[in-house]
Amino acid sequence: MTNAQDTMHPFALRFEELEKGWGATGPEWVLRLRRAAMAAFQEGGIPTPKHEEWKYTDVRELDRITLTHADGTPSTGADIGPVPDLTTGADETVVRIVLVDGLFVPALSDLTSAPSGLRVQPLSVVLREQRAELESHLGSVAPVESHPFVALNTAFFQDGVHVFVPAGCKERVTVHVVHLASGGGAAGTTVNAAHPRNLYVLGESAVVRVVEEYAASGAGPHTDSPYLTNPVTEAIIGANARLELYKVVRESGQVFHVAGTFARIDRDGHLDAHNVSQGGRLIRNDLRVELNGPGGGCVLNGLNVATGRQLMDDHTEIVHAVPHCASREYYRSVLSDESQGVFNGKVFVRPDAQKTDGIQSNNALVLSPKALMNTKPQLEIYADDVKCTHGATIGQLDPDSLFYLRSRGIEAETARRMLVHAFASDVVDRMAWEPMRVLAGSMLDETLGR
Amino acid sequence: MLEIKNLHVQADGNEILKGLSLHVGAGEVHAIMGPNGSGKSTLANVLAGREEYEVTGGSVDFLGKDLLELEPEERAHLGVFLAFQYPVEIPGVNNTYFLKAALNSMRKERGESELDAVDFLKLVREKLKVLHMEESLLGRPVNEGFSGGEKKRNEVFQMAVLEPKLAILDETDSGLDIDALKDVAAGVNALRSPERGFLVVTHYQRLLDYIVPDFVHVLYKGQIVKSGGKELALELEAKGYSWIEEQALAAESK
Repeated sequence: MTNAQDTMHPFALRFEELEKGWGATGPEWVLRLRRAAMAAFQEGGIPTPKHEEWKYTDVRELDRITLTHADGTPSTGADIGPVPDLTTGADETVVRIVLVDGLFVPALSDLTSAPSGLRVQPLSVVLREQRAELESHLGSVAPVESHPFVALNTAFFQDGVHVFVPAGCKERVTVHVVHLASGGGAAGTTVNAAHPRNLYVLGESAVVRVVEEYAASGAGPHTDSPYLTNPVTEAIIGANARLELYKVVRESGQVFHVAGTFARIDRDGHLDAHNVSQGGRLIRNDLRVELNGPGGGCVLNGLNVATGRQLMDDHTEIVHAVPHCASREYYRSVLSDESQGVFNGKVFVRPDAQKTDGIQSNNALVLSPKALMNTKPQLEIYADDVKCTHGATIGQLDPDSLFYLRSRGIEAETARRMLVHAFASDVVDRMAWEPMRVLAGSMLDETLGR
Repeated sequence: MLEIKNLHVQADGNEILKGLSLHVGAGEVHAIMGPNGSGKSTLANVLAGREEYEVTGGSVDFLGKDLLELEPEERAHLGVFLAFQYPVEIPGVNNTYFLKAALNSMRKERGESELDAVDFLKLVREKLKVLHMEESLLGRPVNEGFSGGEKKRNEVFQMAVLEPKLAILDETDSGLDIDALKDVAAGVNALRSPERGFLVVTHYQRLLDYIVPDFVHVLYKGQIVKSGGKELALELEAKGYSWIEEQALAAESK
């Protein structure tokens, strides 16, 4: 007979250790949520390429290493290098909240500028306050059964960001949520995993812009050992409310960024979700939107810039549950070297969702003969009076266009740059917030300038 | 200014130009006519530097330089301009941005300072008038959604802004209505000068009513088989190309 513990998954062992502490500090319902998530995770563990949703994206290495979370002592901020400031040049109010390795760092955050009524807080604080409405929100949109990494996040999250925008709040404000990875080597720590959890709740007719940024701190992770960034964001968008959400991933080194963003939209509500990804070893973004009230809509807009042997995978899912909703989806990938892209776009139109209006497009620009793109639109339509289109292209720079530009005296390199920017232009131009357009432009320049 | 000697060119293994020779002097307008498949467009594209064509023999000297050794942009900097038979649509690249980048790369090459937005706009507005082009075309992506006439006007407009030394027009007249044809010809004629040479490739004599050439050459099966003055174009109009074909066949059988 072997000891029961020998056969336990390392994650389960770790969970048992942590469970005692959580029971003492957090509300009972959160502990129940964590236990259910852990049970769901153990059903399948870390997915393998046999799993349909993980066919092209191999994360098995995460099963072979021991993931170590931060120990719960928040950083003073002094050991962290310069924090990237994406919001430079923004002319609106900026509320900044910074987490390092999944833990809130007060010294790097500035929450004082939040306009009255709008709350930006570390999730841990809100949970300690035992606010009742949180129980109905947290875990209500992100499914642990079908998404192993959502389960992992739900079981292990230590902290995160809670943004609450009260009904009618239309302050011109940008909430800048910064998640840094120090990890590997920084200050002698062995931290190599973070599971930050974000919860955004918008009341009726509320409007807010949230910029979620994932990056390395100045110090790391710079080593060759893997690091798992495993964030989950839930957004609950009330009637007639609008969330403009930017997710910027600028990971480095051997980071596995495996993330999920889940939104539920009430009647006449709207989500603009812009995703810009660069760097790291592997970036997987699951993005699921439920359109739950008539008149609701979403625009999912993404740009991936991959180099080296990076893999960037977007799995999106739009659920049209009710009539008269519109969804738009535009993803572009620029792939160099031996990088790979994956796009899987599901659109479900439920039987009642008449007058659904959906457009999906996914285009990849392959700049190297060894780069690879896998794209799969997946439309399941159970209503009969709908308008849904999809299109996917994979191509190289057009030699005729290149010759045309060069024949006018434009240098070959400049001509290539113009065409790459042109390829991404409709996605970049759709980003209403200027600093993001600037960032996207410089990412494209970087990939060409190597 | 342009000296082509015994030029042989292949595409996909087929020989298209078979020993073509041509001299174009500054200030001259040369028309190249000929039936479909004779090699007219190949000649235009080879001079501009399109890579799909393989030069297997002969030489092209332009202003004392070996043109065939140069990249397409280097040829442009030297003063070669090709008005495309099928102008390329480039979504996402704004017409103004494109043309300003092109002009400034030329100016940089000539050691001139780059034009700022105000001076650039002043320059292009004048040129637009000659071609009866709407200023709104400047704000649109390069050639995207342009009508056939708008595309050809845009080619001549670019030529007017870039002021080349050798302008090659590849069937710029094909498919144009009479108004567009007149505008395109007016744009070309406005550029005629003692320093500038023109190579006008056309299938139809009609264009030459408006752009009167100094020389007309007939290209047939990859060679120039007949050269003459502007009256040769009228003769071709009256008799058709079969007359040339018969003459060429007769010459071959001798």
